[in-house]
Amino acid sequence: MNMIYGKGASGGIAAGVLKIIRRKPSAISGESCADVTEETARLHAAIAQAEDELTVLYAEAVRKVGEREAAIFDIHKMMLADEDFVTEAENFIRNEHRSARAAVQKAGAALAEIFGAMEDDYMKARAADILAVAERVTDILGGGSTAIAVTHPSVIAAHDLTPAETVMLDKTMVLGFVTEGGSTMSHTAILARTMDIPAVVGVGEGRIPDEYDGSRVVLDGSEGVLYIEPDEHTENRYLTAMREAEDERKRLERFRGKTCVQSDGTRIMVTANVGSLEDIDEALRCDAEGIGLFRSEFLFMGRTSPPTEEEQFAVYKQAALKMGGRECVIRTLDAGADKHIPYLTGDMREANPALGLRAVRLCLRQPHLLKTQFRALYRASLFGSLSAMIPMIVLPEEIRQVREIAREAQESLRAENTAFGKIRVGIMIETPSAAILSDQLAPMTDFFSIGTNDLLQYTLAADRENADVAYLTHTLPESVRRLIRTACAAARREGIPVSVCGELGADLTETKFFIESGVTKLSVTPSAILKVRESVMRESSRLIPVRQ
Amino acid sequence: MKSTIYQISDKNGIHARPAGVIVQCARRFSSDIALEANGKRADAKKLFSVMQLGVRCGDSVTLTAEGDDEDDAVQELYDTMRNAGL
Repeated sequence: MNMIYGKGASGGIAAGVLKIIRRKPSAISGESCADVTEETARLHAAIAQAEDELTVLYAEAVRKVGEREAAIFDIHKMMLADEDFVTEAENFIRNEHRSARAAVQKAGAALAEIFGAMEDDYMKARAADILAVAERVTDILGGGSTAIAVTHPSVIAAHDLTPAETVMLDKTMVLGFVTEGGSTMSHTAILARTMDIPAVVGVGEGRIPDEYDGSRVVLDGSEGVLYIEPDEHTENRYLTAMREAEDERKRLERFRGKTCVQSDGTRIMVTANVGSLEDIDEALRCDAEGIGLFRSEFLFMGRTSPPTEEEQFAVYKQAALKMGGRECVIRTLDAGADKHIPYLTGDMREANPALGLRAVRLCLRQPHLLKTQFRALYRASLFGSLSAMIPMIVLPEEIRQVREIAREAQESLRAENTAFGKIRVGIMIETPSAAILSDQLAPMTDFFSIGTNDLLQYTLAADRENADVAYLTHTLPESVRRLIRTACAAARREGIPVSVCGELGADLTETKFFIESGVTKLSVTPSAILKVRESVMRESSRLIPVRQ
Repeated sequence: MKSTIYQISDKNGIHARPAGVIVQCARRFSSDIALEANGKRADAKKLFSVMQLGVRCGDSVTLTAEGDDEDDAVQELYDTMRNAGL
């Protein structure tokens, strides 16, 4: 058995025969031409043909991976037509009397080098796109072809794959692929993930010699390992894992498009935690019954001033529209502690950031932040079902102040004759104080959402990042269970719903506890939704289809 | 000459796809249009030029147009960038 290590670019396991795909070495850089005018005309004809090919490819890619990922082929087309590229190639023909093929190769290599030298990893990876575009043109000029033909189901290996080659792979024949070059940021890697083909990239130049062709292999796309002629133990381990993953996938599919209902008619929803609009697409693919936690921090991060009302409105409106009537709970700005946003928190040096000016405390200190966020939310709520969720509440007084700011937001909109709708305003139960005072808080709010991460950390006085005290929170301690039961009981008396949006929501061993306590919504990372729904079903009486 | 400042909030900065959107938009105008960021200047009608700016999340980009349709160009480009989620 031989193990070759690379980077896991697309998760999953593939087992089969290795087929090595080699391109002819292209020693064309020295090629010259006799007639400059004729050669320039050949160059333009080849570029025109390449553009036509990319138009066809784009249409094919839209069908296979959707418009979003297919856009790369539009970009390739623009690269092809870019003055910087075409003029460079023309110059090589005119000034150095190179053949069109050699000129294109040289122009592509020169541009790729510039991108390869850029600081940003993402831009570095664009060098591969430029080389792919140049190769398409040189192939046309040389009469070659970029199509990869695989006639038996195999794991394929190549020096590198272009995005075009990847999107044209026949999924019934290509079980997975491994490349010597490439990065996890390349479009090839992104496409592999979208197409759900296990892939390992960047194993290194010359690491897959020809003699491996036809070997039995196992490819682990998550760990980034290729096993050549795996021993029996390894192969069995992977075959079992594949079978189990396939069984689980099939079993979980039965829970898609369904919702769980208790014997008393209560619906238990499984929703998604997200941090961006892109995550919402993922949540929808994973069959979320709503968004239980949309972290609005991302809107505030990586910039030098807070996002304007218009910027926030655009995002919340998109979120509402994407969810098409299903509830989307937006958590208001939760900055401070481990989320440092310099222009908001300044040079503030707190001895105990987790116990400092964070989340709602920061917003009440700078009320315009919250008012802008509320105005954007009220306006966007015309496009769907939005809720606001306030983090880090410890006292009733804070809710009163938040409500007052929400009221001001509505009044200012009304005074300006700006259209707006309704939102629910709920709070996070993530401090012991909020749980203990939940009877006072419940009448002031539309829902509770239990943030288990902070509730654990604050109740046990144990930093969740500190491995030395992790033993205290390994299992859900009785103290936290009592706080959760207290909050659920207060909510029940007031007739408001309770959700769980911390990591524990996806802990299948606690599903029963949450439901018995009165939780009616578990909000989890998108990939866990079907698994959690299956777990909820064990505690429910019925599984019914939902029209979404 | 007309100009405005746009702050990038897309976490990937101006990556390939939005660069393409910017270039497509800019090419519809006859004005000369430039993007400036981090002390570098790019021709908004050239894809490689825009990508090579290496604009990241949080960077401020100055959009400048000069020509007959400069007002519309700056406005349209600004709106296009916002709609592209930049």
